[in-house]
Amino acid sequence: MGRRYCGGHPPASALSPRWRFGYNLVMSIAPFADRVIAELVRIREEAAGHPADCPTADEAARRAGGGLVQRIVVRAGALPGSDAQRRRLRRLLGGAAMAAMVLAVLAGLAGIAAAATALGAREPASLPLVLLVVVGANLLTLVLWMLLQFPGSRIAPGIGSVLLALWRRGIGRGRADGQPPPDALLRVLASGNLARWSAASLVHLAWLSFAVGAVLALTVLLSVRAYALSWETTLLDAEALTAWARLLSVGPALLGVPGADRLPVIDAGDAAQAWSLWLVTAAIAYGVLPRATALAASLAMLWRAQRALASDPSRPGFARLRTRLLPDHQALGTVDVAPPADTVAPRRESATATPVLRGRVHGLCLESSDRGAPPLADVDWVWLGAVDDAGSRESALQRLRGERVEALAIRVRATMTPDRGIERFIGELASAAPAPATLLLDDLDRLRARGADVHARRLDDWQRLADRNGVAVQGLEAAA
Amino acid sequence: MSRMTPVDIAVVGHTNTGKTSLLRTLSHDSRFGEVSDRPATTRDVQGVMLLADGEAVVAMYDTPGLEDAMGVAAVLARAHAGATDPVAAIDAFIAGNHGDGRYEQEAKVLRQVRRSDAALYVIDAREPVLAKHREELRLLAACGKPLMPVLNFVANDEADAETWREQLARVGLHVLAQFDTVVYDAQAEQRVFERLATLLEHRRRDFERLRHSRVREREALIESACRAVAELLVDAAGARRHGTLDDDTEQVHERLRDTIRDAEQRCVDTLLGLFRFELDAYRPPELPLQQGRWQLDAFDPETLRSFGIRTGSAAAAGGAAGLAVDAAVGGMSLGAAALLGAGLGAGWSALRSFGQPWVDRLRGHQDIALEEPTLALLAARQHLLLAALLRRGHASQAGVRTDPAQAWPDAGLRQAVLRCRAHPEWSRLNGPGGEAAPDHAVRPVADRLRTLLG
Repeated sequence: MGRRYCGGHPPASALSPRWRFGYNLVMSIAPFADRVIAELVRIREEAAGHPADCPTADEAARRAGGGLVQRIVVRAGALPGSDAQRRRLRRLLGGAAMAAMVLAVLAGLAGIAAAATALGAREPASLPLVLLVVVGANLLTLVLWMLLQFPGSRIAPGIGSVLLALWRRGIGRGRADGQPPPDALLRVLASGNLARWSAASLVHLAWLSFAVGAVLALTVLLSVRAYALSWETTLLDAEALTAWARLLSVGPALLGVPGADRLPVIDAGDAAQAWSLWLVTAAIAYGVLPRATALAASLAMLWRAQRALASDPSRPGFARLRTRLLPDHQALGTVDVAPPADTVAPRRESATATPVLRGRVHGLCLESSDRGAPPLADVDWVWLGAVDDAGSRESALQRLRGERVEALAIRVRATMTPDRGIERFIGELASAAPAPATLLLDDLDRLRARGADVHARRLDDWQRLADRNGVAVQGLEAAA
Repeated sequence: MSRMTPVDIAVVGHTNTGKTSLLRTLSHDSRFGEVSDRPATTRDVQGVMLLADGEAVVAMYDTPGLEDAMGVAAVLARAHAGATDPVAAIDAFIAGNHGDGRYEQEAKVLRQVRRSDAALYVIDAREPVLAKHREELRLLAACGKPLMPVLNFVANDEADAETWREQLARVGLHVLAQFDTVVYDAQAEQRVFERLATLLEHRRRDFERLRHSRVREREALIESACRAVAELLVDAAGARRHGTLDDDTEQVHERLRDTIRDAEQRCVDTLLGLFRFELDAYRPPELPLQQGRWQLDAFDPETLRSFGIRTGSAAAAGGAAGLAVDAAVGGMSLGAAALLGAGLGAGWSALRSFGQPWVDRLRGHQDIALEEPTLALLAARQHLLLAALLRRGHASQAGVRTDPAQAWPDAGLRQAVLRCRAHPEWSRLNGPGGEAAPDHAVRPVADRLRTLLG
């Protein structure tokens, strides 16, 4: 399906060096978008069952170099349709950032309103009540969130899968199986840890700006207005109240601000200034700092999650691209061309009929240890032995030239490749002895064991060699 | 350090000893050159560059066969009798008319050896050691380059590696490699590069790089193959099909079966795609497939029987209720540390799984999932295919089968897969899925497979 779309995107290789640098730079400053797109491509190709075929994208990836992961990302980016996805992703992320900002502003306003209301509800303002309004809900949701992190995704399936499950219930059910998914991009963004940590970051951001808004409001209001402050209770006795005040003072004390250990709890109004400083510090210690820490942790996890996107080359959809993008070899082509077809050896008269070996026959054995004369009936052997090296070849030729030869038999192993060297020598033997010559093919059973087609081709090769040199061919096993 | 030029290696030998096959094997390219069992199939010199992590490291050159070394020796003896420097004699021969063109092919070989850093001398180990081989070795030695014999067809019964080894030692060639270009052996490939590094000590780093990248690639291949199978099993275990109570149950079952059939075929395609090179380059392993497909349907009772699975019904797909029990059993095996988490998870799953059918019933839905025998069959079949692709064969597989009645290749694998039955959200086969199951779902299954395959 890929080829149809292929060719829309200029590969890096098609660009001039300066532009290629720019191209690579853009590639490197937008790694998140690239990885999202690589992930999209993988999902699409895994569903299709095979990677899309787009040579220009493959070429761009090979040119870009680097490891397999980097090449996969470059290829995905160079595939047709990726630019549109990239633009969509940019719009989506822009929208998400805008939404996050609006959320943060609203939460900040809510924080200001909460602080102002708690402080100005009645005189004197109750310190525990103000603190409860400013950090209570914040701290409670934070603790709940932290509890949810512990059993992992078993108990909290993650915001992404909840959304997806809702999606499936709503849109997914009733769809015919195998139809293309409605929006792959959204699903990549909403899957796994990416959605989990971005949702967490968003929530922490909102609460953080709520807390910051509240702290700012407290600081401003306590700076410009006179409030009567008190530690109030109806249910608790004085000791319990003091104990609570001490407990709540731990946070501010860590930040160097004195609390219930040094200030009067029962007559708090006498130390209104010190208690107001304590209030602001407590709001920072219990509201701002924990959320800021949680936000930082979530952002770090989000960073890790997005780094993990399209980073695992063992994914089957990625692994299949290895041979294309990071090949382990490259053809160099022909470096030394063969000469035009061999000059055809002068063809001698082909033996018209297979001569029957009988009577006095000169025999020799080529290129093997001496196996002796084959036991053929009616043959009176003049056995020349095994002929292999240059010396034995020469002496065999000498004898054939010197003696009266009525017939010549050359015993060869059929498994041997009939090459030019052996052909040249058989030719020399045939010309040395002006008598009908026969090739005796040995080891036919071994040849047959290598397969019927090998057997047939090899016999054919021997036959051709024999024909070219005017020699007859005879299988040894049949004769024996 | 400046980039070194690649190491040049000429691959030489008598005609029809498997030089081109060796290069196909080493380069992992089944389309390199032309191979037949006839003499002089390769007539020109062709090169292939071996890359490590995308960088050129070793260039190998396939040469025509030496067919008439004795003829060349005779020409050399006539033309350069008394020459004290054998290399000069070879160079003069290369520059000359090659015995009036008769030894053009041999001249190409010698020229390529002279241009290269070293040569591999490929030997058909089924052949006896002959005078022509000694002559070839003499000629090659006269080229003045390191020479390493490679014994090919060593896996063949006729091969006589010992005699060859002894004979080669007599002419001073002690470092040699064994190889079989018919049967792929990643280890033998490693050894060739290792020995070459011994021969060309100053280029050891290049050969090491090549070796390491090959090891990494093979590891990655096996890893992703196991992962592909694991993803199929997780997908299948969590697969669900919904229907209303008014729907024909058989139709709902058939929808699920179709999905599973497609998923299994996709997995087979992926595996064949991953192992492409080995399938192309060698005598293909005995795959239990025909034309890339399983011949028997996964839902055919006959298929189940052939894998030793006894099942009462042929349906192999049933209601999704009760799957949480599997999850609980699976959870138990995860170890004491994970017990609490697993217990919570199993409880949660049980709530959902036991609850869901009732909710469905009230809403008028039925929920269909795969029964265990089908999962066992999927696991057994893909394991069989993987083992065949890795050439581990039936023998080792019989050794690891712990529960033949269930056909699961391994009890650990069974637990890891059954755990996923309670997690329809992990399956890509439900609704508009597409993204793979989370790592913590796939990993245990893939690891188990990996261990099984050794």
